[in-house]
Amino acid sequence: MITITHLDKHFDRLHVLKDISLTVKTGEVLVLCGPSGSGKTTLLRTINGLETIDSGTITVDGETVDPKSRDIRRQRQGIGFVFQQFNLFPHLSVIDNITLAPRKLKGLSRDEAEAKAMQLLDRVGLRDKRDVHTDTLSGGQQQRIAIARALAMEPPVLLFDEPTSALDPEMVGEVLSVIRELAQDGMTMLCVTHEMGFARDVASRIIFMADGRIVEDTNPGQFFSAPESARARAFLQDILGH
Amino acid sequence: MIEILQNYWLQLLIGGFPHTPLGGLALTLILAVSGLVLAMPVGLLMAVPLRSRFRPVKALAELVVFYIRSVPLLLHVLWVYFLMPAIIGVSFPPAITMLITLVLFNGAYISKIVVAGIDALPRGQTEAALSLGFGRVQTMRHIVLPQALRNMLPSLVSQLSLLIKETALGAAIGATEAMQTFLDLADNLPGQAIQVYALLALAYFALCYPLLLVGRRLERRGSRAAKIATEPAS
Repeated sequence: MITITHLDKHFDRLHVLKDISLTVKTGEVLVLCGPSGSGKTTLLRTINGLETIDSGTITVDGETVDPKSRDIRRQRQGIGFVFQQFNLFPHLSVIDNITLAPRKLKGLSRDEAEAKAMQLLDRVGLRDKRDVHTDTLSGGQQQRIAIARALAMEPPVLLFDEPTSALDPEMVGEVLSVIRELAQDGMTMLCVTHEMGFARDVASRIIFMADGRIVEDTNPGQFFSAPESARARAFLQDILGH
Repeated sequence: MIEILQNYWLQLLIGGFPHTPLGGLALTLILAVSGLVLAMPVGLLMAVPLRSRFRPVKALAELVVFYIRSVPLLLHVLWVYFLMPAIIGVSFPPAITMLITLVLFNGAYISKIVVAGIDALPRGQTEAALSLGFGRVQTMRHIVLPQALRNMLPSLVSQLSLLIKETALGAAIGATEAMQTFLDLADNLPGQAIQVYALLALAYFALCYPLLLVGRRLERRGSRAAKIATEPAS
């Protein structure tokens, strides 16, 4: 589904991604974790071309991802992205946030798009918020709408960039449970997160990154019980220790 | 003052029309309204090269806008009036010359307002649209501009109220708009200059005041919206 080979990226002189190679199969749920500054968010953003790369290749469904090519728009339609800061469109109602892309990009009629959007709103438990403005919603609700917005394009793969990091603690659960259900439905997902309990339950693989490299690529059982690297042990101790 | 109005109201309203081209307050109103209507799209168009990723284009646009904004409007009026016929061989009537100048001059200011309004939006808005598969132009049209325009309405309104008053410079090139008409009248009524100019001030005030009221309302609404936007989301 996704193949990354020998990817390198710099921000000016800072070498943020070093020789990354990674293969994701359909239906896999990858959790990317690691200390801040390890490059996990940047890696995620290269997959849908929000960041350019210096060398290496990324292919999704056998097609090379190149932010400068004309194909990138069509490719992005098949790669859902959920942001840490939700990034809902504040000038649009909830339903319009969800239906704008299917209507403008897939040519769906308003009725078709809204019927589908209502199913998605059901799925994230926010049917009654259909016509409200996004700034009246709580953070957890906004993120669930953002997930519905991404799903509306029916992408085969979803990327989550720290989807719960901007939320108050009591709202983390509602967002994670939506993501958990998607995983159970067989959605291919890559999720950058610090929620280790979620990672343990939901991930089929854990990708541990540090200093721009993939340090461990393993299953959650292995990662949490017996991490191989000293970096991973230190990270887990920091994050689970208190 | 009432007496002046009674005797000269038609002249103040339409100038020497129909014996001369339309003038007076009517011309001022036409200049102002068509200036308002045209300066907005011209400002949007001028904002495009200002945000170009192609450096020479951006640099040239910056230079042009910088020049327009750093030279007095009166000089621009004279340039367009004397230079345009010399360069393109066509001379326009003073009122048209005035309109062209006003639209370019205010377009330059508006382009800066537009750019600032666009840049003030969080990057995440553009990224969210791109991630859904929107192209740059669609992102601008459906996501960025609707929000940016709303945010910059108060600045636009104040720019447009300046434009109304700037029509008075038409007097310098013989456009017989309100200013020129009242100046002529003051010449014809020795000793009553104060009354004539008081009427003129009232006329401009009547044109600008509604716009200023609109601006004040928008600003109040804007500051409420800004407050909502900056409050933590969760």
